[in-house]
Amino acid sequence: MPLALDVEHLVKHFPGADRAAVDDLSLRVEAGTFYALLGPNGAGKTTTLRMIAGLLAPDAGRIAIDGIDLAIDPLAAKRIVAYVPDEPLLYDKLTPIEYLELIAALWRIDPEPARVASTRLLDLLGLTPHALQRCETFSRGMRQKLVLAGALMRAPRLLILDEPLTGLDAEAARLVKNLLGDHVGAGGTVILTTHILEVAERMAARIGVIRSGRLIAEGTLDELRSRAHVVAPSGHGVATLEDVFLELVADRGEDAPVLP
Amino acid sequence: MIGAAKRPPVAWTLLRHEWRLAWRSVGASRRPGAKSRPRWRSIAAIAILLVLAHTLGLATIALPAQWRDTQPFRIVALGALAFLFTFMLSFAMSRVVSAFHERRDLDLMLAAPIAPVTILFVRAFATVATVWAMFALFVYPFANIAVLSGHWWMARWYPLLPFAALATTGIALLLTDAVVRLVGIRRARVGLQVLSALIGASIYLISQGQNLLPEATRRRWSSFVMDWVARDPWPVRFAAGIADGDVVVWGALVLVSVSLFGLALVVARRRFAAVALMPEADSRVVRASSTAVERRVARGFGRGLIATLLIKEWRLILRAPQLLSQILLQLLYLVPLVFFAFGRNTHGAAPIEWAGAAHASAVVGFASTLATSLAWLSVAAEDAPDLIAGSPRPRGRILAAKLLAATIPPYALVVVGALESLRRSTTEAPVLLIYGALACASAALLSAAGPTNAKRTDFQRRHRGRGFAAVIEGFEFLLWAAAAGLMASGHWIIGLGVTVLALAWPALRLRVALENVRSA
Repeated sequence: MPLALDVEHLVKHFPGADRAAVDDLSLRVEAGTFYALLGPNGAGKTTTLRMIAGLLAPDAGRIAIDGIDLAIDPLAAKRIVAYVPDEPLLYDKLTPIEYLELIAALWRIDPEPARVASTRLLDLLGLTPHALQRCETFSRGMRQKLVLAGALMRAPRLLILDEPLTGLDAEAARLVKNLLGDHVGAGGTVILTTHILEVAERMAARIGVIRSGRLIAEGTLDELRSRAHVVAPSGHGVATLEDVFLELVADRGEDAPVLP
Repeated sequence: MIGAAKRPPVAWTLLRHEWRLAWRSVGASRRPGAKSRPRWRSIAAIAILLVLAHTLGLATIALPAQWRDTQPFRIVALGALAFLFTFMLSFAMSRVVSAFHERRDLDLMLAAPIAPVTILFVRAFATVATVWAMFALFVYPFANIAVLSGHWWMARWYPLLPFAALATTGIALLLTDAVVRLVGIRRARVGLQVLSALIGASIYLISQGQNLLPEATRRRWSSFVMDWVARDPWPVRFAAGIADGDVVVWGALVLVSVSLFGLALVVARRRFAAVALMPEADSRVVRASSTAVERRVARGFGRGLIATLLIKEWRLILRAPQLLSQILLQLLYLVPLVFFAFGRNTHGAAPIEWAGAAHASAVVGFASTLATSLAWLSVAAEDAPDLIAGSPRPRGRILAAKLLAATIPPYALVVVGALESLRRSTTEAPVLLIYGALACASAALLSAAGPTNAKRTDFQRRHRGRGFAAVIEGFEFLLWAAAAGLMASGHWIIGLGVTVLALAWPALRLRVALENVRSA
């Protein structure tokens, strides 16, 4: 399978910080994969995603999206990537349609496909009744859905989502999960971070675990189970992703092991 | 059982909370990511202010002892009190809006097991104290020096201020309540902001407004005012009585102040919790039908990047009346320039080239200020920076579109001004067009070189934490206005000199602006 994302030895150090936010991180994600990036707060997940989305320049390392080197041709790479940040930043004074028009202009989407996609996504996400309303009246969940509509409208080959289910009710969360599943089903690649481990467990084909800016484990859930050598706390059945994750990120006072 | 420590009264705890917030707003630096200023820096700034105010207060030493019996004393007393009252009322209004309608902590307060009336009283008294403290910084140094130099009667100004703070806060509470009832909380915030600024600038604008009158009318008005003051009407007697510490007038002032404040609390008490917890956003939600949405979608899409960004920036500005009013209020303070230009021209006291110079100065100064404000909003205060930065379009192109959106309205103003100037001369219009363009371009360049990722709501605090650069940029509009005026009046050499000065700072910032564009 071709690689949707190829990250090599990525490093990011913020001024004034005593350690690197991202420290020699390498990651490969095959096209058509649902990939979950997990880690405790402050592990470097968001920094990593922002560098992949071209929003933050790495200090060292290389990022290639669908074979396009982000440092060499950032605009071509950005054309096939959509990033949904953890905080859904919208224009409060614009309506959802005006927001989608802006995205269509920025990503040069032809008018007709843009019209079709926006109507379909607004309808699918239950935003049609609010489509002529300014976003300032929206709840967090509605804002999150609109940002997602904006991302899906670009039909990205790589969809990056930072905590996409925060603030969504159960119905909306199910809807979003279905949409992400459909995106992968259609050949797209999804990379998401989440603290809801059940989502990663049920949806992700592969899981990466970050701690202190380093990728400390990566693989399918079964591979992670065998790597972490954990059994279910009850002693019966198999360990859940939560058990595996907690074992992997447990701070034992030594530097996190790094994947070979 | 462990003995429970005696808790302070809840009102005291709330008062301390108010005091802490007020103090921290003095020392806070609003630059994104910046740390709060250390306490000693705030104390040092206040100390320097006090030293400066006391130095200015030295002027009171020169006052003759018998001055209080003269007509000029009465006029100065009336003017000073009018200034003091309008500024205090303006400040009190802004504090009331902030304490009761802007800070987001009322949800927490009203959810706590505290009587709403206690919260109301504490906030109202904290507002009185803030208004008093703010004006004490400027008024008491004069009283201190005057008392020390033998004008003991000025000691009566010490108790004047707390009562003036009580009265103005009372009026501010009543006005705020009335406006909120009339237009709702969202519009009220904008309306009160404008009202507060207009009240603060009222004396200044009225005094400058006479420049609009023809010379004969101005003289007639002037002599009418002097005659009125000479007849010693009650406002003049009242002002002189307050300044002089007359017991009857003082009694009336105390009574009026306490009554106004009491009335305001009684009125506010009835609806305090309901008004404070009004929803932030417009609650009128109009659900759109699928047909309406489809019609709208069919009309949209297909515009180019530049057109889309222009429309987006203008929509964001026009749909934020609070921001718009702040921008327009800035221009309001430049109005005297216009009064000066057109006033002199109307009564024909100045030669025609001087009228042209003043007109060119006013128009270019207006355009420069407007361009600076709009450029900050569109470039620095981008609401969704990640969306823009993550788009597959060159940063330079996006920046150019944003700056175009910021400079088109002010330049349109320049074009109108240039057309208007054709009535007087043909040389003024080219000067206006060139200097208007230079001023707008300079504002755009400085904005491109300035900090980004600010919040729109920080518009009024946008210079905080920028030190020297902010001071220099504050003078840019004056330099462009002066250069345009000098060129329009035919003073080419000095005009070119000022032009070089005006270009110096943008030229120094050019490299930073280019780096910002390339860094994408």
